[in-house]
Amino acid sequence: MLRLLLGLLAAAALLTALYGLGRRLETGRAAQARGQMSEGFGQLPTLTRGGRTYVRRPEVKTVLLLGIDRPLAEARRGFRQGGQADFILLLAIDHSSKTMYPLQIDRDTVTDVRVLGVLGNAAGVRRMQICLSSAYGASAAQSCAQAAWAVEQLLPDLTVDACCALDVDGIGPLNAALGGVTVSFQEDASAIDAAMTAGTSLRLSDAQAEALLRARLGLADDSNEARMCRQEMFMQAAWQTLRQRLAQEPMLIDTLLDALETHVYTDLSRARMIGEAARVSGYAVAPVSRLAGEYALDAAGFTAFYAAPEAADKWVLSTLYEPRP
Amino acid sequence: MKKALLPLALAMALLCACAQAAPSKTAADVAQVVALASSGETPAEDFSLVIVRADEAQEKELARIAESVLEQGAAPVDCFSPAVKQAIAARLPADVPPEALELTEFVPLAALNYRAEYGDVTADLLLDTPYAPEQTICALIGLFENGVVTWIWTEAEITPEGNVRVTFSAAELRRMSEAQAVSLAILSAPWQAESEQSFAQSVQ
Repeated sequence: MLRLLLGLLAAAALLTALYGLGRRLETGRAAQARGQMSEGFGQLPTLTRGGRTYVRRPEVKTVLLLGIDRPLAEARRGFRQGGQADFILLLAIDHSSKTMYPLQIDRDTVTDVRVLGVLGNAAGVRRMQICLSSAYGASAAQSCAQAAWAVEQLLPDLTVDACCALDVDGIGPLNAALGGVTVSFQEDASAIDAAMTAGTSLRLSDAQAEALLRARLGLADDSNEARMCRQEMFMQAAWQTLRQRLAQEPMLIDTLLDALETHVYTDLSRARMIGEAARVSGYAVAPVSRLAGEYALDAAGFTAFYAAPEAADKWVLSTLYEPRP
Repeated sequence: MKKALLPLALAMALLCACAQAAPSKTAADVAQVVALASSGETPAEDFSLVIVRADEAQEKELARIAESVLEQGAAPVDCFSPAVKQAIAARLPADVPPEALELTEFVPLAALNYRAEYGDVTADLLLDTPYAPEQTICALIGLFENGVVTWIWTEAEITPEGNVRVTFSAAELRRMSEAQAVSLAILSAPWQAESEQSFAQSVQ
């Protein structure tokens, strides 16, 4: 009995000694410096406007869609033959409100563009038309990265999450894969194709689709601004067709990617594309936005669009950020 | 009746012409010769120094340099003859070794209708690369003849606007006029990101 009592006392003394040693280590000089949680990883970006703090909404993702004026699969002989991005659309996908916010960017919008030297080295940053950003790159992936960087300069406080490019020869196959996109013409476009008269609803042939999206020269209004309206018209009609078909064929994106294999580049995996398309097919689409600004001629006499900085900031803030509670 | 319609037709044509939007820029429109000046007689209107499309020999030469640099790890300056390298090294600041230079531009040029009376010609070239005024550069003229290219060093500097100012001597211009093709190669000290950002903003 005494032996048991002594054993218990010894165990209690040992535990006490260990606790005391632990406390001393914990509160002693050897205490390690600890960081602030606010400085840690995983912090959402914030912006301050008019004395108010706005926080980035992580549920909003951005996808950059590009239309490139040269075949993506064609071999490039250097680092400056990526072709111009004649169609640029940034899609903000809000997974909480289940709404997509498209921002159509004029190809002639002037912003900082990363220039590559003839051997691919970073050679500097030049302010020029954003469509030229994709010309710099030895591959479709590099051209997309260049365009995404330029978009991020135009729209500060925004990160492009994914990029998808379709080349000029992919317009026909895209139209065909969708079974022919049906477009309703509010205004006369018979200068492009005799069948495109005002009030007509036309299921486009592949050639008509390409002409509608690309034509400029020889038209009464040959501005890119006017062409952007036609691109928007096609895009909205194509989305309606795609959405209807996705409801019946969840694997339609797989079929589309097969049809467009050599004409499309994306940094998203095929599985992710299929998953994302299925996810957003029921989402609402907000009206297409464009940045306010002014058209002028650059020093060499080419069209240049200067977006108002506050317009870019306003779109980013209203689409991707929310006031901190 | 016909006479009455003519002014109307002309007015319509003028209206249509005015309605045409300015052209949109393509990648091929970025580089251009923005100014020319001569040391001798004022050049006639038919004289020009223009940027042209690269021919097969020029593309082959660029591919040779690209292979040496990108696949074999050679310094761009070592893709040229020892004499050219020596000429470059002699004019570089002490803190810039020739091996540090990058090949940033390879521009096919054509000197059209040059006459000896014009003397030396100074050309300002706006190239894709936005050079900083203090950036070290070297210019080389490549003369292509029957599949052989001869590279020669020539005087060049950066203007305050970031353009490359090259002074072509009368002798160089004569050789350029006689060559089957001409390229201008620009080697430059590596881009310094911070100064370049501010440069981009300053020329906005």
